[in-house]
Amino acid sequence: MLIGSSPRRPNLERVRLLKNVLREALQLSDDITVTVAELACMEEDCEPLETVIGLLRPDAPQLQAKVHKPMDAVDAEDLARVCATWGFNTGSPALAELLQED
Amino acid sequence: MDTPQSIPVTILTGFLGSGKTTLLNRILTEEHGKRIAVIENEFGEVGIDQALVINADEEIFEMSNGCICCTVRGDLIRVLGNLMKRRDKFDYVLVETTGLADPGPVAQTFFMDDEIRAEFSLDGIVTLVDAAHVEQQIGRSDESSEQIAFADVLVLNKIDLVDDDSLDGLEARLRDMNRMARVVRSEQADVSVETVLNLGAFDLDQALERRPTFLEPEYPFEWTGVYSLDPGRYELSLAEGPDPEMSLVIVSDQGDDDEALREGAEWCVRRYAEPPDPVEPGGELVVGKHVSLQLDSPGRKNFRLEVDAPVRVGLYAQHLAEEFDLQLAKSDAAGTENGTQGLPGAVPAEVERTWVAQHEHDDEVGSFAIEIDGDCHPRRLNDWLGELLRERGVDIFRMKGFISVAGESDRFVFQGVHMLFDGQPERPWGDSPRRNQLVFIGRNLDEQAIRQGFEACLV
Repeated sequence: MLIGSSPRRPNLERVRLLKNVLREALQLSDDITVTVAELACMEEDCEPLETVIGLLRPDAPQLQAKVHKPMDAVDAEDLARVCATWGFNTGSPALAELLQED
Repeated sequence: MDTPQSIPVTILTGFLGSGKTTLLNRILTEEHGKRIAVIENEFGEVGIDQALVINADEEIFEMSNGCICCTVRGDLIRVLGNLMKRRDKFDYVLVETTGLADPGPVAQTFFMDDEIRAEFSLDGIVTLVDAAHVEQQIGRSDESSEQIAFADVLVLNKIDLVDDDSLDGLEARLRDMNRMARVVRSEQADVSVETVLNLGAFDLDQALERRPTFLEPEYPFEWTGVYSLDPGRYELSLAEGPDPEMSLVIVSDQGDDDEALREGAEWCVRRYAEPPDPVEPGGELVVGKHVSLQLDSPGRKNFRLEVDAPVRVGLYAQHLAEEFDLQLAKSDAAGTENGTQGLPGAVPAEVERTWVAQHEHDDEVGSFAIEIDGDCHPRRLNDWLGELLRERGVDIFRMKGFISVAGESDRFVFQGVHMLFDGQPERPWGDSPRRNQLVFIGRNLDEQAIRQGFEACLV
């Protein structure tokens, strides 16, 4: 939904939580950047909001993945799938624990 | 949002030699009380007073494996991420791009991470233009056109190297390409800091308030003359001019104040949309018809106009009257009347007005505005906008405006960079007319199709 009656503002706490969970789960060093953005999706038959997660590493290909749901709904299983797409073997229980801890 | 205040960011673009570094140094040395962090990728890490200068190696990557294809600057995301950890050390950020940079990915970077979007606010894009060389640059490279198209402020620099006529022509070309930007002329990038910083150009609350005139419509005609005519036969006489033909619509009962002229103009726009009837010299002019005066023969050409009763007519002409020495004269008159110089019986125009003319855009990059009253159907609008961004987002550099959504009491403001779209309900319409205003800047945009697409969203 591009035009709506409620202003769409990022949930900054949730953004930081998702970033920190990925950072801890993947044990990322300081020179690696995680990006998280909730964007309106314009494809037909898609969820109206999607969450785009990126992993920017110096001297390595940049990685990104999309979860076709709003950021607040992204859960440990989604993050596990993102990590698997990127070639990291991180189980969802560990991510769930991290999500819970924060 | 728990961020107290986001840090404004200005993107400074311009071709090599346009004066970016001069402007940057001016900004950094002027007393404005701001602590500015500079992100640049043409120099190494250099210590400049009151500034952090951070080097960013150009690194572009495309986020394209899903719905949105969006090119962002990975280097910039990383630098901004590092700056967030030091945000107590500065209160403004300047990003200076290389002369060959495409501003799109730089601008999109500020929308592709929600933490960056919250901590920083893209304030505006300032493009330096070298008045002496930009004509060649526009022809040679896409980046130069894109830098002009993305700008909120165009600093037309080095004007001392170009004569006034060329400058006026150049400024008109820049405005054609980007009617949203403010054009400022300078000699050695000597513009005030307020001209380029704190523009609020991406701020949905004020983006449109700052430039209320950018929506001045374009018309298919350039000139209107209003004449009071008694009954009789008249000749419309034109000398040789710059065009072998000229479109014309004559409006009867034309008022002479600005509101009446605008009403006449709107009516004429619809007549101009109809194919014109060609009229050869000596032919009869019909009031209310779109005609094309055939002017390719040498010497002055006369066209006949019959007036049955006293009337005030408006001539809405494709070109300025002076370009063809256009005169209206009574046929049976034997001398100059009313002190008017020129043809015997010439009738002076009571009122003349010029209009912003539609130009034939030679540049692939251009801009246009849509302004139309009425409410939009929310679902139709979403479908249309989604399809437009999906299919033409690559070519839409920037868009902004406000929309009246049916059933909503607040006006909806929006802006976009390529496929990225940001919008929110703003303030109530109140008593003001519910009018949609949209501006598009991009490459090879089909204005007619976009206009029709939007009109189809109206309830």
